[in-house]
Amino acid sequence: MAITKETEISKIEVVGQYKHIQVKTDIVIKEDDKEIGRTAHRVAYTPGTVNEISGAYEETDLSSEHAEVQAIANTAWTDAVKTAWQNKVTS
Amino acid sequence: MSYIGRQNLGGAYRQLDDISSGFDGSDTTHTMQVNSQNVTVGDVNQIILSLGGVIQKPGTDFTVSGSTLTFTTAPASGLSFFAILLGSDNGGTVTPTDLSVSTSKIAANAVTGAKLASDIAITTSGDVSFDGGSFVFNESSADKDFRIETNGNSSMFFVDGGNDAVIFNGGTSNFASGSQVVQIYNSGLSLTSGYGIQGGANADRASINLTSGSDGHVKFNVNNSEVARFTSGGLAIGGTGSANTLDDYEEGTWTPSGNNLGVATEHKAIYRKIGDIVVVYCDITYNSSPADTAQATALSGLPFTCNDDYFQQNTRVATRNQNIRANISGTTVSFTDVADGVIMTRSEFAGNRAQHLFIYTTA
Repeated sequence: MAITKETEISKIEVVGQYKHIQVKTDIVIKEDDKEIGRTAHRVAYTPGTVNEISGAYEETDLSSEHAEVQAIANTAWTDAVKTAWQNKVTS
Repeated sequence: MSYIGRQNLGGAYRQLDDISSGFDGSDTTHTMQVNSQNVTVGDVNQIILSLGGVIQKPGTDFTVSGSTLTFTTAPASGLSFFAILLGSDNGGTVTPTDLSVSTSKIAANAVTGAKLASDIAITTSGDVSFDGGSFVFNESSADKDFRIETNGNSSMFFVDGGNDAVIFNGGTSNFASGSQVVQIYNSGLSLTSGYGIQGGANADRASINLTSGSDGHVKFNVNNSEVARFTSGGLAIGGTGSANTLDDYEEGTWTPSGNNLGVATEHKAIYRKIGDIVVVYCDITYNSSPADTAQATALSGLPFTCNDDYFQQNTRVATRNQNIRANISGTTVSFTDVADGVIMTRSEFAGNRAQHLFIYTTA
């Protein structure tokens, strides 16, 4: 009897005028390759954040995220979108 | 004693009615009758006929056509007559003896619907099974009902041909006067369109109505009034507009993190999304260092982005006797001491266990 845990991206959403990216990942628990449980895990990304210490605006680094997320960010986060978001959080 | 030769075959061996009264020496044709009813034979050789005590040769001395017996020579008046019709299976028509036809004597596929009585009741104790092709009841699409009885219920399953309804536990499709029944039906009965499943009686009836066309909703009715429906937009309660429609529900986990102080242990981090309202909770222990005075205690990693700025005071940090206000914006949360309006420092959070509850809306 082998218990395994797998993760799979089930949904990627681009929401709002600032094109925030919301990623839903399903965590699948299997016993002998038969699914016995599934839960959702969520994370959301904005184009950038303000560093609390330096006060500098830093673009979000998605290099360690899933390739699908990176691809969508490259499309959705245009210069105009990134500028608009930066203006919002730094104003 | 055993029988030598061909076995006797079943059938009627009947004596023709006496026709000798019609003998006049000129009339050759006479009608064959048994008990005053016309009879026929398929073959002339099925008749043994005697005139004046002399057996006549079939086909030579007489012939038959239908129920007409024709003598070659007209019998003279006063001649005696008798004739026997013989049963046979080698040609010709035979009238079998009552209750003498067994199943094996009937050819396969020979019994057609036209040969069945208009009312048939199968009352044998054995089972009746069907293992052929399709079984179609009311193939002519007429207003014909179909029902199955159970022990104590004469209409446990009832197909109402006139109203295009299938009814369980009741023989009527009129719910205004019906008893406790469950009904699957087309439009035109108690609901106005589409199909549905309906149970109960009178004003207490409940139903699920599957509407058709552009409406295309699933409606739930309780006590004969709609209480909710599913539309393409979600679950509508109390109305059918977007303001009354719950379009999403989701629950799951998230991973709180901090860019500057960070989380050492995540004890619990869950979320519930109901429509566009997001309720987020986490129970975490912050890293113990750096424990300096930098105002860098923000959390990130919210499961849904916040579409506005929300300020809430649902935070407890162990060892801190402060009223802490959380500012939720985007996907991050920063914390401020309500008393002095100063952003919390890492030294105030470092190494402490904290519980946070955030409620906000998302796009």
